[in-house]
Amino acid sequence: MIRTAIVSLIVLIAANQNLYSQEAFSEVRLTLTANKLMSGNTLLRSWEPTEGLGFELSTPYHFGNLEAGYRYLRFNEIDFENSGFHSHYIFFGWNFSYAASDEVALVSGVRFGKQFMLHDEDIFYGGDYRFSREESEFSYELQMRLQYEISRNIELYIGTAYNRTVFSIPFAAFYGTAGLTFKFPSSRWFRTVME
Amino acid sequence: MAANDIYFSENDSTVTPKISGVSDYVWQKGWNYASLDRMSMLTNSGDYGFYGPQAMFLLDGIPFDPSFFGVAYSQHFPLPYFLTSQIELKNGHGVLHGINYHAGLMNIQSESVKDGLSVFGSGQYGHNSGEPGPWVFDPDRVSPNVERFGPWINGGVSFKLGNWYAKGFLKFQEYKHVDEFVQLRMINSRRSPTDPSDWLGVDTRSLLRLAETGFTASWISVKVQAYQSESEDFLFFQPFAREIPAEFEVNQYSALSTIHFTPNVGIRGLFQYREQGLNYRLNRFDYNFDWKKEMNSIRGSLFYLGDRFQADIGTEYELTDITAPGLSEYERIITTIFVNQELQIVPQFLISATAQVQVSGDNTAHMAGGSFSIDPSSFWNMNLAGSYSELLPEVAHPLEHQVNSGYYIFDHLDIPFELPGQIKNTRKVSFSNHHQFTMGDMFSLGLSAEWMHHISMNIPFQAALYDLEFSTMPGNFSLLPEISGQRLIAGADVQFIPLRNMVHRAAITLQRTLGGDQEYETYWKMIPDFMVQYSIDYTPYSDVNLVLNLQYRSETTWNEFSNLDGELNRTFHVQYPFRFFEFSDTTPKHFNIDLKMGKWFWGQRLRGELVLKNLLNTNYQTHPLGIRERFGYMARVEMRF
Repeated sequence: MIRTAIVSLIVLIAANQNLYSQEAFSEVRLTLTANKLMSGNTLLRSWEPTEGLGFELSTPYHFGNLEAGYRYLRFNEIDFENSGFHSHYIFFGWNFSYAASDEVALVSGVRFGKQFMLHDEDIFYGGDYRFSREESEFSYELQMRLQYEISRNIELYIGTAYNRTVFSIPFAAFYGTAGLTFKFPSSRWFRTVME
Repeated sequence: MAANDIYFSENDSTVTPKISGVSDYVWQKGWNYASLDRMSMLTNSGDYGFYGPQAMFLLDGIPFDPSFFGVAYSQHFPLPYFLTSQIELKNGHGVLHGINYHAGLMNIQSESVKDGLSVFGSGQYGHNSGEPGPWVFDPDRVSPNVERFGPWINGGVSFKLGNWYAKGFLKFQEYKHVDEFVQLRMINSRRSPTDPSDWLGVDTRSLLRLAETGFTASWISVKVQAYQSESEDFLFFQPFAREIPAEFEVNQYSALSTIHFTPNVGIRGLFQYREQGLNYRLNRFDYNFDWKKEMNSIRGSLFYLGDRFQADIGTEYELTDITAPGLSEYERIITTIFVNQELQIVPQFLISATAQVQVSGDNTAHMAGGSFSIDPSSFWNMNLAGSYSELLPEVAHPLEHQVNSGYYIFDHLDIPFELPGQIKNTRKVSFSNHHQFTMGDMFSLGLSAEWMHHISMNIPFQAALYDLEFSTMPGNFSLLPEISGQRLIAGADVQFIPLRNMVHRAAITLQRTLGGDQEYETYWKMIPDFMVQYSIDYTPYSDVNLVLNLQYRSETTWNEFSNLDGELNRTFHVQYPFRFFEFSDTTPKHFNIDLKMGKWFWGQRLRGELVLKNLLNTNYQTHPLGIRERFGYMARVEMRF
């Protein structure tokens, strides 16, 4: 069983390199996103998120696509006065598109990044213990989306993402995202930088 | 492998490393390390354990010493991690390119200088999980434990024109380590006398500057190097049973030359001046190491490099001068004569021998060893080796030797101690056997075993005491004299290359104490009996590299902290609110997975790298007082022009 799994893995990886090769960095996709935190755990007991905005840049790689992006949300306090914060998530990742038809594709991928939380104020305990308004921690995300090509240069997608920020007590959340993508042929300098 | 051949390099593991931390320097080499903070390290080459004589460090043929009282600090390695090209670890004693070593060797090669003008810069940042997140607003759940590694900034320039080159770089590292378990650091925090909002003692910073120039021709090569390194750091001082804040300083100047009289015959010479200082840093304790060591050494050797016969015969003269409170006119001269030779009798049979004699005053230490290597078939190499080594007390236990000579740091720190009036030489004999099987470029297997008998070891032992407020207090420190026992180290390493862009490597190390004094058996329990390290190095495309490292490590027990076992460890005043943890003298067995991802951009001028450490997010601890390392990440950007 183990032997079969190992051999299958090796064959799969080897095959992937050839079967799914595509022209790397041949185009640039700029996506504007609207985001909503659908559900989550710990954080949501004390803070209420608003809708957010973001953008993503992606480009085809030999296998799948490389991407980088940013997402912003505001969290308003429920329990603790002046504890509201701005959430900035900066990430990069990789995704793979499965073409269901000429226009429709199912995309899944993984993202790694950092979640920055800028609180409205510092806080003091006992008059002596000061905690900075700036927080940040590593955060990863698994995403899946349905993508529809409206025209040669424009796509729409809707998707969901599971995000986990590895604080001491982790924060996990599901986001719903809608995106509008503009596609451009990449320039020579872009390909030079990416290769 | 730890049990690899002792004297020469044929069987030593030499692989292209991908260094992102101290653990990578000993990865899959059979050595062990223990670290309180992931920056400093105690190493065990298999020869003498964590508190015995430590390995020597060599960079591009030039020795350097990043160690203070037996603990090596990676901040003082004179190269940025990512410029490491190769690492070769050797056990025991021997001679390598005219450099003699006594208790293991870490031989590091840096990347070679490219033709023309080159510039590089890199920045690195990361931290470990445990950051509180927005719970700072919840007094019941707050903990400001934030381990930050960074920024680490490296920048340098090199120029090569024909046979001549010059290079220089700066290496700056900063980290803030306030892991909840390493309270020994926090207790050193104090408000600044000038700025009450400033807490001192938690951040560490180091700065290293290096300049080097060299010339290489067919008959002569010359290299001149200077580096200065300084840091505000924490010293793990075993006699004190804790880390204490200190300032380190290293200045080293070296001149290395090789002259060939004929293509086969030549001489090598190395002159070094090294200055190491350990100074005061504001803290809660009233002490000052005020320790300064100056070392001048001259090495010279005559070598013959033939097709079937190679020999190296030379001498080293080392003058060490130490100034410290109570230590006046501590001046030691150690003279060493060494010889090393290899003879290939027939293509399938090679014999080698090495010997050193060290003289310090009236005391003498001898080292000798020999091995023979046979190729029973085209795919099988077998090596048998035997060795006897002896170490002078000032080489094996310099601190205790200095205290015996008057250095009163133990009295100053209120450390009860008991040292033998005269420390005897450390003596060891060992026999090893190594088999290497190679099947084309695809598969290789190494099997090794080493039996060693420590005829006489002096083991430093601190019976640390428990104290709720301070966590640890020094108990009685003693150098247990003339301890003896036997050890067995066995290992296997495998390399499998199923695809041109995928390499699998595995190393298994098994270590056992076979018998000996009770103190001996207790001492070696600090070393894991069993360790497995496995890696997959995959380069799917020329610009992307993925490395997956898996490690299993059995538990270790540090008897010197047995008084703390099960006691509570409390956070200190700068943390809010107080929290309690439990001490243990045992570091648990552990399975660890790390993932490294890197991508080049712009024609290999720009590189981004992400290291995800301890993906299973379990506690990983290599020292009972050290951090419990959980999930962490490190991001790095590197530019080269």
